[in-house]
Amino acid sequence: MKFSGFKKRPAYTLLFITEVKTFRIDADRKGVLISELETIEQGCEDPTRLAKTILKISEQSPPFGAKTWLLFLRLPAHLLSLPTMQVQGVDDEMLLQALEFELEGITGQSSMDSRTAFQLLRNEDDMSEYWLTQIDQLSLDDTVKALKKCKSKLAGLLYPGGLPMPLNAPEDFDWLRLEAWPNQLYALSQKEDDLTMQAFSFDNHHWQNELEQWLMDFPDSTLSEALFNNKLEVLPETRNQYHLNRDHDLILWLGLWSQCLITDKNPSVPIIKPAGSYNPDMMWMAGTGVGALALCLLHAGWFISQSNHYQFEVDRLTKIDQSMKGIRKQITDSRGQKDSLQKKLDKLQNDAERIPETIVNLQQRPAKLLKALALGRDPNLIIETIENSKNNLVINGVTLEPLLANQLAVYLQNNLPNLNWHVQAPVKKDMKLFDGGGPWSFEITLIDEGIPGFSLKEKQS
Amino acid sequence: MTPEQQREQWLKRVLPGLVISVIYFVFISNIVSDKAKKAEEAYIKLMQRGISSAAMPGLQSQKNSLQNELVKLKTLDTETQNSLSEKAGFLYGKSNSNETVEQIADIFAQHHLRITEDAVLSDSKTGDLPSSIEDIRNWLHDSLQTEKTITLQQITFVGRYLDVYAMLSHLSKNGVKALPVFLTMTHLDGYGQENTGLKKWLLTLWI
Repeated sequence: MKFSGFKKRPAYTLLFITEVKTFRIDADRKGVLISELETIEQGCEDPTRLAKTILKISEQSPPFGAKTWLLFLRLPAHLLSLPTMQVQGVDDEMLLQALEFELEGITGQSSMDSRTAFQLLRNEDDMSEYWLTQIDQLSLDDTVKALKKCKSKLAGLLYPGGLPMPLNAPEDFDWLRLEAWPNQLYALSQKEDDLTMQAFSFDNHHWQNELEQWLMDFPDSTLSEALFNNKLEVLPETRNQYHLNRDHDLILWLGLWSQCLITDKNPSVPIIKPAGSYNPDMMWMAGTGVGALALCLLHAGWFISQSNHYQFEVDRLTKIDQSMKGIRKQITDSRGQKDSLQKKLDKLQNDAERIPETIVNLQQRPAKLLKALALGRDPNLIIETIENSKNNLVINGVTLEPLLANQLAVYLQNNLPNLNWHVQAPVKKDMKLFDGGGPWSFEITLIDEGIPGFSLKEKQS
Repeated sequence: MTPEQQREQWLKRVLPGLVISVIYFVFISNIVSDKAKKAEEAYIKLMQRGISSAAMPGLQSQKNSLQNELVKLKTLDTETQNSLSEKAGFLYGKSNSNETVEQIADIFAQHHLRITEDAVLSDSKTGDLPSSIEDIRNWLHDSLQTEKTITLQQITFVGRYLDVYAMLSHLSKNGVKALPVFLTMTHLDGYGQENTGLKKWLLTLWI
């Protein structure tokens, strides 16, 4: 299924505009022809009418390619010589100004109102010969606008003469060609990389002599060809002859132009190109500015990245630090708990061994006391009361001999072990009921000292 | 173009780059690089303090080990508590005081002791306990979480010394759930000649 409306637009269109007709052919990005030759019955005799001609051509022809090359037969072309000394080492801008100044003297066209392109042809006898093409600025601007209306861009405007390639064998580097154009004869020759061109005006009556003299400079050129436009001139005989009024010759010639203009960035012909917005100084300034900015951004980016990296690490380590502190605190707390628990356990285990025995001792304590009092008492000693007040157990009695109370206290001390009692020395008082003194009342105090290891003070320590 | 013009042209071309570079390196780069430097210094300080994620497993392991030890100790503590409660015998837990009082009364009767008064004292009336009894009570409270209050039975009775001794021996050896706290002996007033040798006794028991 084919959609004619979606036909791919060609990359390039070549328009060969003569006085009466225009020939169109399209090419791809590599300069290879991709369409049939189209002949449009629309010519242009004056550069000032070029824009209108293009608009008319576009009405009779399919849409142009993205870029359009114009080979305009009526584009003014000139040959100009300047002393080599004057132009040596001069940059292209200055050289163009010098050439425009010289050309202004010949054509009367102000360089301010025109656009000029030039190509150095040769340096000979201290003179540099240049090939120039020129169009007034307004016509060029109109042409550019006209092409823009046709949704195309002007790739370049040039005179169709001077194709810097051989027609017979394009890959050869040794060739010679004569081109007969309406007003001029172009003679081109290439030996190795040295391309030479000479233009002869038909207005000059001696052009044939000059041509013969020029040809004498290339006696060894075996390959020679001639290209004829519709105007035939008497030219020296050449091996191959091409006529642009023959379609196949025209296609061959346009194909070589296409290849030359599209693939060769600096073809050796003067080409007028539309003024671009490209300003080298501005580009340099922007470039260095952007470069410096990029460098600064790179520098800042590196440090910001470093800063972020270290900040991230600091945050990470701070979190680890906090975690470590938390864990250390937990370890310290756990260790404290462990120590206190261990201490408590030790005590509990120690107590566990002692508590049953202690309880039994305490249960037996009153009985043991009564037994000890009974056994340790001398018959001359009477125990009258036993009193209790908190820790003190007080034994009161009467004795005929004071020493007996002491003996009882000693007995109690020795015979009531492990009952947590401390026996104090007896307090005796003579009752003076007898002549020689006596009897004596006494008081023995047993102080409960608590269970060893159980007392509050011992626990706190 | 003269060399001077060429120099001027190149200077013009590189001027924006120079201006941007000078502004950046004089006014801005220090701010950015100082921030990075400070962050780096803070990082190095932390590293020099030995803070590293590599130390975490060791600390964690130490913590876990301690916590395991604590768990073991707590288990041991519980076991010890249980064993202590067994060893504390009748002093721990609820005992049947009526049964004990009946046993005591029976023992008193066996030993010809005449009870004249038998009363239960609340904790407020017990006054100060002897240190040994106080220690036992505190130990039970601290170690076995028993209540601080205890039940005291105060028995006033009349009897002979020897009978009282026999009763006390009986009380201590026959598994009666009672712990003597106080024992007092006083004269018995108002009795005749036939009661020679009798004394008035006051026995306070922790039951």
